[in-house]
Parts: sequence; C-alpha cells; structure tokens
Amino acid sequence: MEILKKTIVTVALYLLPAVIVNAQDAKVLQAAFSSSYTHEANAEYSKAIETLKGVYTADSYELNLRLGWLHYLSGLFTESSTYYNKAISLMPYAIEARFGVVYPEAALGNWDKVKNHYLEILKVDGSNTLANYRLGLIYYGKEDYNAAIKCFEKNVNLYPFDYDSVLMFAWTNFKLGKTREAKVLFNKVLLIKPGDTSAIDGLSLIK
Amino acid sequence: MRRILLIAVFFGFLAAKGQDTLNFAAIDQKTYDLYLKADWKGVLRYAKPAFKKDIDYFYLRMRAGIAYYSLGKFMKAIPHFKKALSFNADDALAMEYLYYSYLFSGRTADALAMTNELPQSLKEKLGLVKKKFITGTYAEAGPIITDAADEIDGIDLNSEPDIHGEVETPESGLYVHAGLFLRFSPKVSSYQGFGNVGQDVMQYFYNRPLATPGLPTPPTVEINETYKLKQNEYYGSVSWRAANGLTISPFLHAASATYKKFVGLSPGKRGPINNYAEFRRNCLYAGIGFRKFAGPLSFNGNAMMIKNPDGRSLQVGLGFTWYPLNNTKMYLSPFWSTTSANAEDPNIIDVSAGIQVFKRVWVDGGYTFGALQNYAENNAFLIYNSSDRIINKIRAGMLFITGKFEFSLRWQFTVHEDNYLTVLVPGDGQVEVPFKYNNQNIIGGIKWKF
Repeated sequence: MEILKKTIVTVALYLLPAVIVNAQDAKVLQAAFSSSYTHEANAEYSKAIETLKGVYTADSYELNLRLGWLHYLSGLFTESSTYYNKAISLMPYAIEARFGVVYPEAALGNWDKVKNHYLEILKVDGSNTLANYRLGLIYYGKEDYNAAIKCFEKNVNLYPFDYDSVLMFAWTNFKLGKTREAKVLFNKVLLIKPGDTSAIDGLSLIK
Repeated sequence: MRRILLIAVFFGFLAAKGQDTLNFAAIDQKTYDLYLKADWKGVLRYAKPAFKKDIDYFYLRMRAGIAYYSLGKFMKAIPHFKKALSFNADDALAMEYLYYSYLFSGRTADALAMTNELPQSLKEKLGLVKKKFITGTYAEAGPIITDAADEIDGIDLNSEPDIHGEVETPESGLYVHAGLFLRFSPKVSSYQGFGNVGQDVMQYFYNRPLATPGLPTPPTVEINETYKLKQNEYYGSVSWRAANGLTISPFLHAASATYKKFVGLSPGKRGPINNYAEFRRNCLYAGIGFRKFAGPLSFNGNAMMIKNPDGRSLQVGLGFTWYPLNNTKMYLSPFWSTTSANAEDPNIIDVSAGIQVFKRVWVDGGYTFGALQNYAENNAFLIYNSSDRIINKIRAGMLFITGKFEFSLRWQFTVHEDNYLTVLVPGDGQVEVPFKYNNQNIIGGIKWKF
C-alpha cells in the first residue's frame, strides 16, 4: 500500500510540470485569441495575424480556422484558403471551416472549389439551408436550372416562408418553363414581402 | 567587416522585399493593375514567380493566359486557360480564349473537341451550333515539267556494236486532286480525296538482230514514240482526337497507273509485227500516324505498309515541329523516315521551315535527301511510286489565308535517277547506264472551309 502511495506521488510529481505548462499554454493562447479579437475589431488584421502566428501550431484547428478568417479579411485570399484547408484536414466533418473557405475561394474565382465545398457540407448535413441556397445560386448562375431547382425546392420544403428560397425557387421554375408554378410562387413571395420588385417583374413576364 | 555587413543588410532587405512582393495581395493588385494597363509582359513578370510560390487561382491564371494570348504566344496561353478552367469549369470567357488559343496554335482538333462542353450562348457566338457533316473542300492541280529528254539527248543507243538499246523518259504531265473534309463528331473527322496524274512518256526502243546462217535476218526495229501514263488515286484519312493534344490518324492511299507501250516484235502471218501490251501498276499505302502537341513542340510519326508490283515494304517515320514563337508564325520541322524498300540506303531525312511574312501570308521551304522510291510523306498524302528513284528534293511554297479560303502555291524540284539499257554484241552482255534528270512540279491549291 505504501508502495502504491509512493508511486502515485511520484507520477503526480512527474505530471505536474506538464499540467502547469499546459495551463500556461492555454493562458497564452487565450490571451492571443483575445488580443486578435481586439485587433480585428479595430480593423488591424495584420496585427491580429501576427499575434496568432506567435502562438501558432499547425495541428490546432482553432488557430488555422481563425487565421483563415483573418487572412481573408486582410485580402490575402490564397493564404486564407491555405489555413482554412488545414483546418478542414484536421476536422474533416466540421462544416464551419468549409463555410469559411468558400469566401477566399469565391474571391479567387475558384468556383469549382466553392461548389465542391458546398457539396461536401451537404454530404455531412444534407438539409443545410445555407449550403443548399448558395449551391442553388451557383447552379442558377451557370444556367443549370435542373440542378438549381433541387436545391431551392429542398429549402422551400423546410422553410416555406423563407423569402430568398421561395423567390429563387420561383425564378428557377420560370426559367424551366413551369410558368404556372412560378406564378403561384411569385405571388407567395408577395405575401412574405409585399411589393417585392423581383416578384412583380417575374409576374409581369408571365402575363 | 563593415562592407560585408552592409552587403548582408542590403541582401537581407532585398530578400525581405522579395517575400513581401510575393504575397497574394501584392501579386493580385499588381497583376490586376498591369492587366488593366495592358502591360502583358508586366503581368507575366509577376504571375510567373507567383505560380512557383503556389499563389495560383482563377483570376491570376486568366490574367497570365490573356497576357500570353495578347502577346501572340498562343501555345503558352493554353495551359493557363486550362488551369483557369480547372478552378472554374464553366467560365465562358476562359473557354472562348482556350478555343481560340487552340485554333491559333494549329490545334484545330483540340478546339473542335471542346464543342460539346461549350455553353449554348458561346456555341452561337463561335458559330458552332450547326453541326456540319461536310466542313470543307480542297482542290489542287499543277503541271509536271521535266528535262529528262534533254538529259538523254546525244546518248547513242543505235550504233554498232550495240545490238539493242532502250530508254523511257517522262515528258510533261498534269496532276489534279480534289477532296472533302468531313466531320463525324467533335473528335472524329476525315478527309476523302481523289486524284489523277496524266503524263506522257517517251519510249525509245532499238533492236538489231544478228544474222543467223541459213535463216533470213529479222528486220531492225527502231521505235521512238510517246505513250500516255494515267494514274488514278484515292486518299482517305481519319483523324481521331484521342486525348488533349494527341491526334491519331489512320490513312490509306491507293493508286492505280495504267499505260500501253511497245514491248517488242511478235511473229505475224505476214511477218513480224510490233507488239504492244497494257500494263497496270497498283500501289497501296496503308498506315497510321500520330501527332502530339507539347508546349512549343509537336511530335509526329507514322508507320505504313506499302504494297506495289515491286513487293511489300514497311516505312516508319518520326519527327517534330518546333514553334519558337509559341505560335504558327514560324516553325522548323525535321522528319526522319526509314524504309525497308531500299535496304542499301533506307534513311530519308526531310527538313522544312516556314515563316509568316505578312498578316495572311506564309512562306515555307524544305529539303529532302535519301532514296525516295516506294516512299510516302505527310501520312501518305504524297507518294513516290515511280520506277525512277528520286535522290534529292527541294521545295518552296506560299500560303495565303483569307476568311474561309486558303490559297497555296507550291514549287517542287526533284532530281531523279534512271537507267538506259544497251546490249552489246553477244558475250559482252547488257549494260544499264544511269542518268539523271530533273522534274519540277508547280501546284496551286484552294481550301474552302464551309
């Protein structure tokens, strides 16, 4: 029993420095994050980045995610994309990093990557309305109305009174020649947002 | 020590500056500003090191591609537009630039292969909506001029001690060819053509039989006349765009020459009669060729089987074309062939070069040396199936392109080697004496793209 006590004390003594170091690290990290928020609020993005780079470790999801965002804000899109992608590789099933990386990728014009990130998000969370809506918009912009309507339809089923989704669903129906459905949907948009010019434009094209 | 420190500081400053200028924001801003100013070389000065540093995105690829395109370096623009499309596969502007970059790089097959991927609006803009089966036509014709008769002038074939002499020399002729360009699908096209060569051939035949004791001596025969040689030809090739930059082309050239000439005396009821015989000489050239574009180079080659009355042979060729300006304004094209038809001298080397001299005018020239007999070039579009051997060939040409038409004028000078035959009194045997003569072909061509 005495031996057991001794062993526990010995192990505790050995572990103590590591615990103290981790506690110190956590405090340093928290201070760096806190400072970065202050810099960000003051639009001092370079300073915010420098602060986080001082405590950077490549295997930290949080640091990579935050650096991705700050680089995006400072207009360094390729660097932003690199940090976001590191975050994605660290936590492949997290969708927030993918929602982050689409900003710099879109700014770089890499729309295929943007589309793929939304598709990956939908693999994890098939009913994600933001991903569905934005993916629908990409398809709509590329005149792929058959793909677009599936995205908008899913959103409208989940949120029948959502202005953006109902409006885009209406326009996509119109583009596919489904004028009867489009008319009903444009009128529904006018219930959500009376006097909406886009819906009125749509209805004028049907009449 | 102080100087070293200063240099170190200076280089440190440069390195720091170099790092600063190679971040995304600086590259993006700089290339965008230079792009707006149409400073294409400036765009590339910043874009190239950026790509090496993995600063690589759609807009930068577009700027680099448009910079090369605007500098007329279409072959260098291609990979940038392809990369841009890998970032944004549906971008119509990148597609349009890539389409024209292919066309202006001479990569028509790659341009056409894109057709299915283009959005409808771009197809309409590029005039690719209507699918045509017959996409164009080509015709060429020209005279064949020879000095063969002059070369044998003065050769004595009918004096003692000769008892026999024979020679055949070509005279003037005419070559015509016409064909159609067909398209089966965006990746498969074909050319089908027919041609004819008509040429006069002068035949001299002398025979002085020796007297046989106790028998009447047959008469001496001396024929000096011209016969007509007609050759009908078919040429067909299929061009399959197998992969990006790679075209594979099976081809077939069939030629059938007919002529009727004097072959000697035959015994007749009322004495010997002149005997003529009809000859048919069929030749077949069948094979497969390829062309692969890689940057400013295109590699090409072919392998073909040749069958004619002389037997069967195999010809293999490999070469490349170098476009030093990354467009079709200038090229140099060596090509090596080897043929089993001539075991003693199997290698044939062809070198050609061309340059654009005016906006719509190209001139080109070439030299071929080796034994051009039972030989074919340009995927067997041109065949050399004469019984004479060609030992040298020089050519020059001019091409004028305007709208849907291409006009060409080609001159070809060939040095031929033939034999005349003499037979001396029995015991001395027959002697084949070689002589050379020159041919000139002047061929005008019209290509009309529908």
